[in-house]
Amino acid sequence: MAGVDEFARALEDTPGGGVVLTSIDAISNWARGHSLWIMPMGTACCAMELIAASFSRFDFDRHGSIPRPDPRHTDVMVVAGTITKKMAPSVKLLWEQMPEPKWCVAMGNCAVSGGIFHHDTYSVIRGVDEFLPVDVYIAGCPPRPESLQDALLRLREKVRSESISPSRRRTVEGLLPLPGGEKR
Amino acid sequence: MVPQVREGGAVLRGLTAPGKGVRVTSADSVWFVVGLAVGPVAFLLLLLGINAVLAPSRPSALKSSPYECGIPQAGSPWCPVNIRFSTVALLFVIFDAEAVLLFAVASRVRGSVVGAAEVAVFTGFLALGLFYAWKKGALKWQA
Repeated sequence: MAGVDEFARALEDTPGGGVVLTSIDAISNWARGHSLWIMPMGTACCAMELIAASFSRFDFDRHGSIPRPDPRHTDVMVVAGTITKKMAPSVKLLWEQMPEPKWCVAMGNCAVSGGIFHHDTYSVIRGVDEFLPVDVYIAGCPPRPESLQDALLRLREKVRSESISPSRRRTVEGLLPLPGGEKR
Repeated sequence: MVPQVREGGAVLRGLTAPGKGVRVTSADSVWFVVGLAVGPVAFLLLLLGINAVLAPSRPSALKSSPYECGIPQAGSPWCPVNIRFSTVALLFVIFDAEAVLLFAVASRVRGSVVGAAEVAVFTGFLALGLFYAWKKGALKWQA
């Protein structure tokens, strides 16, 4: 992290700087939460639901979430499908190529835990959280686009709790406990 | 008095006069143009400045590696291209210029015999160049 850390620390040390800091947080978190562009990491049948989410029936554009075929454009990687051990290095590389701040959604049972491949398979990763910092898990085989929509709205709540200052984190009132608990 | 024209609900002071086309009649209109030039640039610089201050930056070799769908790059795209392609590229410019300029005049010469003749002469000139290059052997691919 470069300039933003020193900037945030300077604001913390300045009397009255906290007001500026929280205002910047509020604006930037609002902007980030409402333009969560999706890196569509679709590898199996969950990808069909992920694709359907972008089209007219579900229309995720209204949430500001559009899929982009380039990690450099995107904020949230949606892992939709089974990740095999052979595929994992590619997924990891794509995750590394995404710019900060970035978030990850594990969509479907395979991405959460290996799903039906959890037992008696030599080739499947038992959940992408073995190598990615997952923020939101969606259960289902496959989950409906409504579930993905719920995940993005929950992720938006989590984004609202963040701050440009590394020493700060605020609690946000939600209907359910935040994904990932207190720490990320 | 500065003429005022109402266009789409906005009043453009001094920029246009009725029936006379665009005419600069006051300092306001000059400032309007200056604002058009400076405003967007200033706005862009402001956005880039905010981004430079607030964006987290964690550069790494992996992050700047080429995007090949997650697969390591197989080779360098900077490979030599046969020099003979340059002749082909030059000849392509003939067709390029032809297409661009013909589309530009097509709507004006429509239904006019004189216009068709003019366009034919223009095409003939370009064809002359192509035939010259052809005769010189530019279309031959010598191994």
